[in-house]
Amino acid sequence: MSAQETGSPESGDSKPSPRRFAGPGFIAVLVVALLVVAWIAVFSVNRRVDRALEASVSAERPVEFVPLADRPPLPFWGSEDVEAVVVLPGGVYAAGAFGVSRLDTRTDAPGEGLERMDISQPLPTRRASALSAWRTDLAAGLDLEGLFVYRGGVWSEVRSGFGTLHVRGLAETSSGELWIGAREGLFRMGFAARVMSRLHKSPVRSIAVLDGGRVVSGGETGLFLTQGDATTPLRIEGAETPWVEDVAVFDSRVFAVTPMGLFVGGPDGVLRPAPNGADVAFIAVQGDRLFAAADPPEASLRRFDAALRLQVEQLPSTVRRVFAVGDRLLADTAAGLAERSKDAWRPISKRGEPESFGNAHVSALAAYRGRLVVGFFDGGLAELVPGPPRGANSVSLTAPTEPPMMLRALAGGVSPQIWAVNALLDAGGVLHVASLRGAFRFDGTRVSAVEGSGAAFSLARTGGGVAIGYGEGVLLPERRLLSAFHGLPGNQATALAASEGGLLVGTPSGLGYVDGLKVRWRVASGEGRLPHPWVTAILPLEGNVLIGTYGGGLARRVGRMSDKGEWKPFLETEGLKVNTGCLVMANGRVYAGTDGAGLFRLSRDGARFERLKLSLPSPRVTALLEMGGFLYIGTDEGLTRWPVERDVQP
Amino acid sequence: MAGRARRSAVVLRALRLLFGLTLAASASVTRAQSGMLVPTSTGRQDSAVLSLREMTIDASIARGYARVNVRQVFENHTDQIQEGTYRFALAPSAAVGDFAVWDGLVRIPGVILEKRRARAIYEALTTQRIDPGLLQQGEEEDREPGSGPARSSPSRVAPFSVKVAPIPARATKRLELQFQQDISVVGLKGEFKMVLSPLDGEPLVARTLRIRVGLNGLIQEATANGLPLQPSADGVMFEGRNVTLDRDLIVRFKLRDETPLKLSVFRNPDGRMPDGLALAPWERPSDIPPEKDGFFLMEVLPPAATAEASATTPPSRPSAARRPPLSVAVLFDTSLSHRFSGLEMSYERLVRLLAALTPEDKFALIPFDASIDAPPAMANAIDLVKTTSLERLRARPLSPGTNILEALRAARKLVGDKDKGRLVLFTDGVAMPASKDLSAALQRTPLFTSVATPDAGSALRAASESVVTALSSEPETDFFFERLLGPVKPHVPEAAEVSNEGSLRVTAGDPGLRDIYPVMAQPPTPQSLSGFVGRYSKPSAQVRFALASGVLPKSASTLTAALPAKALEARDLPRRWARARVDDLLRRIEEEGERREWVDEIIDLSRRYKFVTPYTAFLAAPRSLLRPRRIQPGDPVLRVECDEGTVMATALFPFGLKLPLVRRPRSKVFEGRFLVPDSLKDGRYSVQIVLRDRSGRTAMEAKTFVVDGRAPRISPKVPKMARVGDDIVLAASTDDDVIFLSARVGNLPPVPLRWDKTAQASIGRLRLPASAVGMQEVVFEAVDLAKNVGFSRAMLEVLP
Repeated sequence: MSAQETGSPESGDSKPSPRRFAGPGFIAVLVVALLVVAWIAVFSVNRRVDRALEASVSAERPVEFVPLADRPPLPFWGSEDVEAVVVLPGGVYAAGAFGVSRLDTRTDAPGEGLERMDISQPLPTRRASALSAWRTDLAAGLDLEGLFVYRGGVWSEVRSGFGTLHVRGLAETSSGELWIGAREGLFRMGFAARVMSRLHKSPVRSIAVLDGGRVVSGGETGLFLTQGDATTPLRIEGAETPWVEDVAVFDSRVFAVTPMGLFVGGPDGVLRPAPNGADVAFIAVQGDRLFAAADPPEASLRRFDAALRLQVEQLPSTVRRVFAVGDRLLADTAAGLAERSKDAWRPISKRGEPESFGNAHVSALAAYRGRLVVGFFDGGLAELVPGPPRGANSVSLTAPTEPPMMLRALAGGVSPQIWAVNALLDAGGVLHVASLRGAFRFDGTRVSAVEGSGAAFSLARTGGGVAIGYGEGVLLPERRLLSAFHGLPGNQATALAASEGGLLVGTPSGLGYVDGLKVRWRVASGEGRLPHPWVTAILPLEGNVLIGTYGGGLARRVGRMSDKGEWKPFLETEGLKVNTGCLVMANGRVYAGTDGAGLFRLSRDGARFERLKLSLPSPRVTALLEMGGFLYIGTDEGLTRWPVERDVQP
Repeated sequence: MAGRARRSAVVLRALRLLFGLTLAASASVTRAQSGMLVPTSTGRQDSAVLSLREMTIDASIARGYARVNVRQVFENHTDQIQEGTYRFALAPSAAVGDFAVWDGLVRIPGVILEKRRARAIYEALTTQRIDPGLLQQGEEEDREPGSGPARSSPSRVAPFSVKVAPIPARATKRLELQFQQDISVVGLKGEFKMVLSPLDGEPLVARTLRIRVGLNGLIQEATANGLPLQPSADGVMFEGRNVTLDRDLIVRFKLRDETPLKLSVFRNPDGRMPDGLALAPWERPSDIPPEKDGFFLMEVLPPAATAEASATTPPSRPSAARRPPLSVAVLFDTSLSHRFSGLEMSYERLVRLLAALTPEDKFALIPFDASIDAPPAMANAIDLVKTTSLERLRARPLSPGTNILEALRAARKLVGDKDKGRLVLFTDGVAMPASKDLSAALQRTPLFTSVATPDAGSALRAASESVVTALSSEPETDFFFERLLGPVKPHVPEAAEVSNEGSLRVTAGDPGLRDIYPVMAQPPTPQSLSGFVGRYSKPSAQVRFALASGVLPKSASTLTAALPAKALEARDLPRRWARARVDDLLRRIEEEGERREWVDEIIDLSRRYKFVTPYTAFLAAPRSLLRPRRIQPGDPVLRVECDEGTVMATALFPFGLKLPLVRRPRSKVFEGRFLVPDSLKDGRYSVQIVLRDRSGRTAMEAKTFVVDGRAPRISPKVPKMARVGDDIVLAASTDDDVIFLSARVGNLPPVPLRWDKTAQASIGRLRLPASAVGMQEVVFEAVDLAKNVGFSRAMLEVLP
């Protein structure tokens, strides 16, 4: 079939008829056409001018500081990579995908270095990408959720008329101005003034302050110099891409890190490749030295002097990122934070988890042999295991009353084939894995691939064995693949659940029920029964089934599978995106994880869902599992758990 | 005389008209000039479609070698996306070192691949409408060298060609080419020539033309031909606007330094050039791969004939009066492919040759195509015989076929086996047999070949004593005639003999010289620059070189110099050596047939030192194949297939995501899963892929993907009523990007719908079973490229 050739049959009949020039009519049409062209020309010229002169987009909006309510702390397991460090009179603060932490000297073991004390519970998400001192306050930028100020132990959200900013860079000038680099552009906020100004609309990833009130900002679309309200682009010669990852000012020259390495500004204002600048990922300036960390990370830092002569400083472990904090130089290494002092590097804060799982985007959870197994959205498998005793570990991101736990790669990495995990299921002592690279079985020591059909998305235990949902249909334990051809509403099986001896199959285009190797019924789009055809989660209950959809919220099907069934949507969940597999029963209550709206719980009477106000790593809940009295909550920014035993609310 | 010339011109015009009518389709490809982009839509150079907006030539000449960088920007003047074939005529000794096409602001550099593989990838890419450029030497068809005689293909006259697509409507396309070539220096004079004027047809007009040629101490000599060059600080230059390219770039120069032996070296065992080293436009860091060995070039410039040398070397300008008489059989190709300006050039050279023959010489003019018109015997080269021979040639019609072997045999029979016998061939080089067959036909009679195309081909080169082509410079052409009229067996080492260390010896020191090849004018003749390029494995402070006796006066035949551990000046030497080595291997293949190890070495050297050979091609294409091209909002996976040597790949998304990609085990596929932000609207977006290879080199490529979150629309067409047993047609029209469309009646199995041209819709047929009786819902489902699913419903009443 050539669907691309599909066209209207009528179009072939509509042959243009020859027309003669009609005097006044033709002139009128011509005049209108000219006016339209002139308007388009004026509009396009204006747009170009706008783009060339970013300064003209400068605007001011009032700012409001809204205090955030404190929430009970929940433990966190995820990335410990540090993205920003700042020193305030109150101490040293670090930020990263773990949130914002204060680095305190350990009271029980002062020689053990600094301990990370999590202060980010009130924040809506954890992934902090920028920190800055703002006079005596702490300003923190979240990658997804905006700008926040920490003052006197209380977080406030900085709200402006510019909407939620995706903050990636912060810098404070000597006059107390806070410069904010965000995906939405470059912003400035005076300390006393309650207004925020936008200087340009180009996305910003990094900011550096020059003398004379000038600020350099770099991002996905290039490098810019802002002075006063005027912004001009800076040319980077030979970078092949305008993308700027990091900027710094050193020896009165602008340095920019691009995917093609380090570039340095010349007297003509143009940036050109810096010698020995290949592979540079991040830079920081301390005094008369510029330090550069490489990508891929090396156990060393490059050190440049003003003449750009290179020297290499060795560190005990590989360096991810380097920071200049006042007159101090710190580096985020594989072992933790290290500080340079008297030409030597010493660790100041160890990592709690020796392994890094990137952003720790959890996509599946399973209980397997008494342990929690975690599957990652863009990675493999890990397990939650007891961590080293507190005395030897300075990281304290778990709640103080709980024993320290840490994430560890499952069985030494299990198999590199397992990547991009979609679902996990313990069945018969074997852990089944559905991933984008197919389905696998893990028996505790060995991984074997399940013969199947490409990427696997869902798993369910049935009376006959394990059913696997693939992109092309559902593979039943009897080794029979059922697809849309056999009556399912779609091919891709995104959700599976056994019910009354059969199998419920959720697809992006509806729900089907399979029994006895046959599709017994299906509910598809447009029938008014499902709030949205994209079924992502199914939870069979006594006499009814809860269905989660991506975009339509939740619904309940009442009745036996052999009956026609009655469909009742939960109107309060309308529009919610329930993530795949995020519908579980825990401690007698039903919980639903959503994409962007956090965690929902069904009331005890089963009448309505309500949102829980928990200190989740992110409102994007991507996996749920009950185990040992806890509801483990996987998010796109890490894992946490909540003691559902204590959930006594109605 | 004037009347003859007029008649000749009339004949040629008539021939042009004739062939213009019969071969118009292929005429465009016979035009060879430096940098033309022929739109596929017109099949010929057409400035109304693609014009040359900008051309910049940067070159440097040193050590008998030119390194050139050409940058051209073409402009599409049409409202349609154009595809074009870029052709660049280069001298036979030229080797393309780098080639890149620009896709908007992104430079897509060429990667050298084995030709067959490059072709396969090119085909795969073009079917996916990805933007590749394939640059290859020789034929535009996928013919491997050594796979038998070339067909009579006009594409042989386009030594370098590249397909460029797409060229967006009303937009520009930028191309970059870097090459290097030997510059013959004869009689202390040399000439660098880049053909800008077309051999046929209308010349291009460059809206902006900039030329800079560095002469590195050489003395520029004025020339009446060519573009008017102005002296500059380090050479010559030209700048102009709206320049009609009806003249070539010709830079003539004279050697300032006449030192008989001069040594240049390059050694950089670190493998990395020092930071801050300024590279010229014609240089790329990748030109110089890590190599523990050093490279040297010994330039040899024999002085003007001395008492000692005159006995053994030919004079630089042999005068007709002093040379011994010759027997010359001239073969003139009158096949159909030898036409237009090529025919004029051959005729001009023939006239020049005949003018140089004296009455003491004997000659015979043998026109040939499929048939051979050989005179019964050689005749003395008196004016009357020359004139009648030319008249006979001009009266001969051009005919199909090229029976070169029979013609050579007939010619050899005429001249005999004596030392003074010469065979001279004027041809366009099309349909030449293998060198082995040519050599067998020649036996030991020397062949001098003039081809009217840019390249003579390996067979003719191997079989000929000397070759001159359409691109040969004036000194090279002079040298050709000097050798043709000089002694046949000079008492100097022949090319094959000097390819070993015998001609260039080390008499003091042990630098571990190896793989030495003769370069430039060979054999060495007075006041002609020749040389030997080779490798050394042991740096030495003092090495005494000695040239084989007879090449230079005894007093000047030795040189003591250092072969240092590090020398970075002569950065052209590694590639120059590699090119000489490849030429030697190609010569061996031509003589002895292909061997796997030779072919492998050629491919390896080509890829390592970056120059195109007959076995390799540049593929200027995205080095990773992105898929899928269309994605759905949510959590798509980005996969890129990379080169074998890629160790790291990172995707930079327009919404600010920097996504490190993970290598799939046992594959070249890197993949990454990401979330498309909800705020991202449907549309086309660019993603940049940063690739790093084993040697740490970083490359960047841009790809586009389409975010498509809209479900396809379906307009169903279903009969309202049907009976059991009827064959019904289920029809629907959908969006263009739908890849699967099906319809299901009630609980019956779905029926796939396929496009039907007559119905102008996608249709499926179904026989209604008895179980379908009643009012049935017909559900249509369409899946688009981004895997969005769309539904539509219609009702059908099925009667019993």
